[in-house]
Amino acid sequence: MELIKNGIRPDGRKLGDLRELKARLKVVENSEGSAMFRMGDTIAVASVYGPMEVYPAFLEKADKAIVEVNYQMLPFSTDDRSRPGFSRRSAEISALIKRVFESAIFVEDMPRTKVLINIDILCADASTRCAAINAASLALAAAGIPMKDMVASCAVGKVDGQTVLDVAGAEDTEGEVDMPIAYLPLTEEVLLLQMDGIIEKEEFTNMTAMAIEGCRKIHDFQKGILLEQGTSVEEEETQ
Amino acid sequence: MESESEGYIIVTPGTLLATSEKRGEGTFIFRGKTYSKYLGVVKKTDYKTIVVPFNQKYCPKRGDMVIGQIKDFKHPFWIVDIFSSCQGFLYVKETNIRESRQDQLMNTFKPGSWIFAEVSELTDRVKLSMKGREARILKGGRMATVSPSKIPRVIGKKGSMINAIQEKTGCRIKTGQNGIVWIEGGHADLAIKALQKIEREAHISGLTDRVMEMFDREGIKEVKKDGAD
Repeated sequence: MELIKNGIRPDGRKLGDLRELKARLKVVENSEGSAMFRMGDTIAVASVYGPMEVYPAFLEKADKAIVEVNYQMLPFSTDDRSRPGFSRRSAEISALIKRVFESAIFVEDMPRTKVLINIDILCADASTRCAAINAASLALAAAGIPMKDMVASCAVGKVDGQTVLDVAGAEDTEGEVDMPIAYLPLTEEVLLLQMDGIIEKEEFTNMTAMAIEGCRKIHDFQKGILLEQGTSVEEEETQ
Repeated sequence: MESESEGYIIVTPGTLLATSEKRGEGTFIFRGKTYSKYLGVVKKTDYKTIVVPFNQKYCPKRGDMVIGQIKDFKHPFWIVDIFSSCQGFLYVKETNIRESRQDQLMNTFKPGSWIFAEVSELTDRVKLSMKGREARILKGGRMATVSPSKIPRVIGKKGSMINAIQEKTGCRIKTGQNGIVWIEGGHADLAIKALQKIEREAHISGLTDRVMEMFDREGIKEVKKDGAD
């Protein structure tokens, strides 16, 4: 099956386009900071709690904070109902996101504490871990956790032999390669890079460059959202 | 990216603040340049660049007055929830209680009661003291929470804001540096509304005037309501 015709993808985007981005802060009232991030049909909600005390106490680090991430796909997020609770997949992605944020947060500023990040995927349509990272970095900034920069993340893929940005829908299942990247624009570090499929070295360089370009766009969007919504409580709540 | 209006600058984490190395809280230095750590408001002076975060958990400092809730008694101290990243410990010898029997001590501060105490020592644990003149037990009243970084605005210059609110509403108000505000008597609802307004607009100048304006508006409503009844 041919997915890309004349440089137009199944959902009408060009090769280097992101899906429509939406974000909202303060979605979970009781958390220290929270955010919803939406990329097309993928919706992630992240809530940040802490810094708080570490239980059990032996996990505590005398020189830095520990980061705990709970990533979860809700039962109704996929076409078939997925079993609620933690699975091998969610444990793996949680560990992965934890490592991303350990290098973005100033953990040494908050010794003997824990930062808890809960991420729920409300709707899954490819690159859920990217949406999860984007939502979590907005929530962390809103919670006042010291960090180097917001982490931006997006995926690139190879579909019909062509490089595409932000893989979605059929491209994810039919495509040859899927490569999510998390990027810290300030230090120009790549914090996460996973890939399945086989590609040439040259293609890989091109795909990385394209992903970083996409991450920069997402980063600008995140900044805009923080300045627009993070500064004060919206007027709706007062009325 | 930054947005500027009415003389204050809002920054997001990772915003470039200065191309030289500047000292100050809420900033960090990377490759010889200064960047922001938080989402907050920038304050620049000749020597320092500070970023005050909009919302952050309280970090205990020595000498701060805080409002806390007693959680438990474990001789020789009470464990106090001070709404921070760590618990507070109130030792018996740091209070004015001259009681040595444990069963009596258990009943002096019951779990759930509120205290206004000073942070006296920061070692491996946060130690509180109730020996100061200001320290007291808070009985009755209501609690409100404000972001700890906005407590200075709630108090105002030399207590101007807090005094004005107390005068207008007839409440007795105590503010803890940890963002908990105790309100007793008077028009408590009105006082809480004022606190919410401060929380929202803390970074915009001319705050006291706007809060006073709000009181004038709300005050009239209040009188009308009384008249209707």
